Amino acid sequence: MRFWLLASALSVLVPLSTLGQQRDADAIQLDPVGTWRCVVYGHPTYGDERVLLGFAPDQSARMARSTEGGTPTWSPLSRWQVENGLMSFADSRTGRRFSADLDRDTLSGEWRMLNLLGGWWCAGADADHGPGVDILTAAGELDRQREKQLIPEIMATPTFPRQAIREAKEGRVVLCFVVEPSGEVFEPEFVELSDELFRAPSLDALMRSRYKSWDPVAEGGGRPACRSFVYRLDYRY
Amino acid sequence: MNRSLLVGLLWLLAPSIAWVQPDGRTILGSGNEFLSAGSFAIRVGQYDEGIRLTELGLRRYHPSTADRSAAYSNLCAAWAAKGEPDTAIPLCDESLKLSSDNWRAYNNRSYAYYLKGMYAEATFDLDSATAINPRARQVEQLRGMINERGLEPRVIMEDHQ
Repeated sequence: MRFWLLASALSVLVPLSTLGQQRDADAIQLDPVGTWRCVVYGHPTYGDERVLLGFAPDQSARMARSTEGGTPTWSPLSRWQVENGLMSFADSRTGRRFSADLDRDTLSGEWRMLNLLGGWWCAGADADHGPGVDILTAAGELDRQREKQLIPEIMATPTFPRQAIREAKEGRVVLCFVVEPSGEVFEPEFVELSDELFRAPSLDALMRSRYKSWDPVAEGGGRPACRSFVYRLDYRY
Repeated sequence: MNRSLLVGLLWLLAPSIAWVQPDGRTILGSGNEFLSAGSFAIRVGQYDEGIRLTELGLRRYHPSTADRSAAYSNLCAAWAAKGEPDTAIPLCDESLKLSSDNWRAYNNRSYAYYLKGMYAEATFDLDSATAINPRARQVEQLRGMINERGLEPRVIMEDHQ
């Protein structure tokens, strides 16, 4: 119990800097070059998209979508650039502008459209895959991905903060993390936090959650995932 | 539960039942001493005595309209503190009839509605009190109490893999 309290407290402290509220000039920034396995979420029509993002040293960028049984598809994105530790690029087909704070432990950030806002979070892909190869559909990878779905065993519900009820505050939190083969959650990171009131209960609930364990030799190591918490208040009268 | 309610009530009433003129002045023994004594008694929790003294002050003397409005508001507060909102509400109505900008009367009536579980009416009165005195701490405290009872919290969780 004490361990979790300590872990929660430490985890609460760490993301303060990752949210960009306190930038340390000496901090080592993340190098985005390479191929990343990502989750893009928050679009009401597209839903959760699993994509590969590739960033080349010449600042070209590309995205591959998973299409079941379809042709492998790498699509070009705008050139990526970094300014003041903030990486940005755009997808001209969807009109989404992506940004990422490179002070974070892994590549992640938000995307914006004219009137929509969402997020994305990546884990480094195991290997770089050239153009024309859809890693998700190649060689039955899609089936394996299905097998690799994380299955929640314990999904703890956060307590709605009393202060938020008193102040009639609603909110939204998105946490991304890694699930180890044991099913435990590690490296939680706040990607979105509408109000500090919701930080502790969300983190506490996540850390009390568990997923079904798997064999790391046969099915690989840790897997990335994100969880969103939407805090709603409904009038009883 | 009753204990916490009572504590909340006293917390709310303490400032509101002070004998305060609509312009914010506190009457200390000047003018109508029965009304001043009555407000003091209510403030220290002697509701029956406070009600008796306030009613005496209203009957024996001829207070100004503003003082009568404050007196009815205090009576409303006392009856609400006694847990009798049905008696309290008409007294607040009377207070507001005499002075429609008495934010304490709105606040007291809001508490009475809160006791009856009439949260929409309570919120409406609180909004009126806020419009007159946006800085009143008591109003925000009562709003928090109403929100705790009147809002149903829920958390929607979704995994993105």
